[in-house]
Amino acid sequence: MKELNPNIILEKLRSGDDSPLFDLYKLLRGEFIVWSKSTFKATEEQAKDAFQDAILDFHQNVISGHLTEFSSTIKTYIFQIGKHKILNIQKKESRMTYHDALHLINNGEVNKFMEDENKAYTQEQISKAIDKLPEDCQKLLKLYYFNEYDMDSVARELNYKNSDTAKSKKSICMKNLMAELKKLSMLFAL
Amino acid sequence: MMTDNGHIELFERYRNGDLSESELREFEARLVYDSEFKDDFDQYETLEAGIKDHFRNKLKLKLQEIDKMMDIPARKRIHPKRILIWSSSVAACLLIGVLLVQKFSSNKYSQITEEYWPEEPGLPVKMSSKGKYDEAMNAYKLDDYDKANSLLEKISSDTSTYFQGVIAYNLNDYKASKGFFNHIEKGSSYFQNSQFRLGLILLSEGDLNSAKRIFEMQNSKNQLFAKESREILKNI
Repeated sequence: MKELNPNIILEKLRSGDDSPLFDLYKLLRGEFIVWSKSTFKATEEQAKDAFQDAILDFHQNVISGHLTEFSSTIKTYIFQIGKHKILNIQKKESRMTYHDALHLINNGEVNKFMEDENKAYTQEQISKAIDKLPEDCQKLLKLYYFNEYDMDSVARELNYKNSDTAKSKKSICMKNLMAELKKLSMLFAL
Repeated sequence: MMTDNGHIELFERYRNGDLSESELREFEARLVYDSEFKDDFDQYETLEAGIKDHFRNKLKLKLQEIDKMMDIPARKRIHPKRILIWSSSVAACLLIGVLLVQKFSSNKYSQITEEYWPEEPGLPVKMSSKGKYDEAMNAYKLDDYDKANSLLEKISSDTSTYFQGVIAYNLNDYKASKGFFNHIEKGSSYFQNSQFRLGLILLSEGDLNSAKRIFEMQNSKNQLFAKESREILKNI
């Protein structure tokens, strides 16, 4: 049986072990879907989407250090996040209007769309470029940006000599990433 | 416009807090007066946000994979512990499997059973306090049916009997499953659910008369599965 002790879950997540997330997801998903359907009249898809985001936000709050202890249970905490996600999804979907050519969304999201259009790289390009990086670079970038490790912790985790080595390695990885993005941009421009 | 490598070096040093005081002042001033430099830094920040989003999306994909697995009816899933047992008798199983697949794929009643079999998410589990069924429900939700069963066997209640019936069905032990569902008495809150499931198992076994009897009883106003029973009766 998997360990469900909140302290152990927090400790594992902080140490970069994602497995408790999957266990929590499997344990609570069914109940969350039933609850959101009956309480918020959510659709199955809305409930699933909201619960995935709730689990990811919970993870983010743990690894960023915003969540260090619980005033309630993990379940209540995740369900609370999920509730707001559901309400946001429903609010967003009720605001949706479609424009013939653009399939745009009203209000602030138009601005966000325009901002995205002006960005040098799309998320798809960035993801493709990261996938092309060597494995050690991908690990480093994940630890630094996603797991929010400081350079000392990155060095310890990846067996680098010290934080300076980690910094210079990160700098190389960022340059490689930029080079991959340039290649991809050229491909898109063809 | 692209961020050049020289700038990346500088941005990295800025991020790491490695700029001297004068370098930092110059950096921040440049963000104000040098629009090209500012654009490059904005792109660098976009890239940083994109890296974070990339790994978040990857994790979300894993959750969606779990979703797909969980949405497959339990009896279609291969239970990891059973792989070992299966591998030791692979030849015999293959033969039986082929025969079963041939038999069941041509059986529209089995398809109806699969289609209408209600997903059972299990009872809510409290993580703060200990509940009677918590441990069994945790095991059930993680598909650890052996453990769930051994815990449920120790509890004498209609809840326990009902879940043992669901587990037996998930493990393809239909005879045992029927036995458990048959044991649920009329006054139980699990009675209608158990009867509907019993009807579905009987249907998949080709016992049309018994199945029909159950669905006809379910096909009345206050029954939990009235709509489903009506649809099934139309199809058989």
